[in-house]
Amino acid sequence: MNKKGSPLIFSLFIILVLAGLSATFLYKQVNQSFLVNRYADSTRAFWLAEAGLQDIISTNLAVGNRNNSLGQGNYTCVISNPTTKTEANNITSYYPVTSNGTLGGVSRQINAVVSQLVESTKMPAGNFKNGIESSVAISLKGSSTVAGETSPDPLPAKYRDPDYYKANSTISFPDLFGYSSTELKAMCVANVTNTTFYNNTWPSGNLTGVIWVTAPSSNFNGNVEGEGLLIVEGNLKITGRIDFKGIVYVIGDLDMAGTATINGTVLAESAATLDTSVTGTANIMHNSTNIDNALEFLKRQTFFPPRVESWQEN
Amino acid sequence: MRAFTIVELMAASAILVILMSGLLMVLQHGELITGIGTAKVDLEAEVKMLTEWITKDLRQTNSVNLTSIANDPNYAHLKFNLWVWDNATKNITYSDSYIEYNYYSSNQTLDRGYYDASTGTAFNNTFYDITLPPFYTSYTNESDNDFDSTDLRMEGLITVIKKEKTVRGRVLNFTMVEKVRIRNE
Repeated sequence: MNKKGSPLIFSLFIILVLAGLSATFLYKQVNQSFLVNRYADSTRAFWLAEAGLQDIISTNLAVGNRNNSLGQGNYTCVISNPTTKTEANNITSYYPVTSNGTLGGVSRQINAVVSQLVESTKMPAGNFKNGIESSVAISLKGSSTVAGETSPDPLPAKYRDPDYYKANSTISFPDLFGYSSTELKAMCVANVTNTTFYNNTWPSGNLTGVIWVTAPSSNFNGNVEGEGLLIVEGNLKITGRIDFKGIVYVIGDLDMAGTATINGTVLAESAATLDTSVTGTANIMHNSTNIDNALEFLKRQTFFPPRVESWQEN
Repeated sequence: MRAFTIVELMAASAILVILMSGLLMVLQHGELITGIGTAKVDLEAEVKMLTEWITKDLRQTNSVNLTSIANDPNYAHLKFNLWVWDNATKNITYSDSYIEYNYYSSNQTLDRGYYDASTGTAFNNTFYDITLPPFYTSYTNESDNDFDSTDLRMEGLITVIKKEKTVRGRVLNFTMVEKVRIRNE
């Protein structure tokens, strides 16, 4: 009789062995799954912390701390009080920023220092003394006029006030504007606030702010008006109409043959191969107020986006 | 009660042996597959951990320091100094402490050394079975890749961690490629 229970014991033993194997396998799978999920959560938490930092930068640090949910996680970004550095041409604030990304119980932290230009020292309008100034000779012909605030009123016909034009002048872009031409072009290319960039095409219509034009090979035959700082990289031959208040700066040969009215100043940084030529009905009137207004565009805080100066992960 | 005959017992034993042999083979094969699978998962975890470690180190270094000639960046070697933000000068200040990665193709190891200049202590971690140099600036496949310091400064670094080892007669390998943007210029 006692032999009849042996298959049951044998079966139970087999079941026990199989259960043990299954439990081990399950434990390994659960453990691997946990590790994989933790790795994924850690990666996501890192990018959440990055998102917090970018959130603060995209709002120009204007809205203070940021706390948002994104996907299944969230980020908290805290800005501490800034310290300030004053340099020759600008005042910059440096903000310590701590951004935490959290997801599934995993946190990652980024510590950064973000700088923001508080104010760029505006270059004095007094640096722009002439109605027209060129690095080469200036040829004034036709019924063109060049005058300024101290010129007679009303102006005689074809009046060219020698106090308001200067030929063979040494013109330095950074000395006049506080930025190199490369820096200013880069900002226009990046389309930061108040800038416009025209690549190998002439603008038309109304212009405002800082406008950088990479000149096409054709003459300017369009019709524009506006105010601010107009920079032409390349030769500018005006055969159309331009009515501009502010500063027109040409990095190339300048030939004003059409209908040009400039209330401010014109500067030509030309190669010594061709005179700067002002003919037709060009009317250049030096105007300090318009020059000052044009330079105002270059000192605005929004002109420079915040910049990450240092970045570290805890 | 009639007892089993010798033939019945032999037949029963033979059937039992065949059944047990089959079961053993299945269990052995299952154990082999599980072992290889576990080894492969471990291999992947090690590669991910190492990639994460390198990525975290390199992300927060400074590209100018990393690419300096003195630090001799190449496929198999990277070195960079640790730094702090100096609130007085509003600039990065380097310390004499540094982290250095060295890859040795002869024994397929990657060393991560950390030198703490304040205490004069060096710490070293060695990662084994790394079968490719790990640092590139352009990477297509194992035989078509490049390292250029100028690209490193402008575009960032590509880390390629390939780990290979033999488990129970089978060659296992896992490769992880990651682009690292260096955050400090």
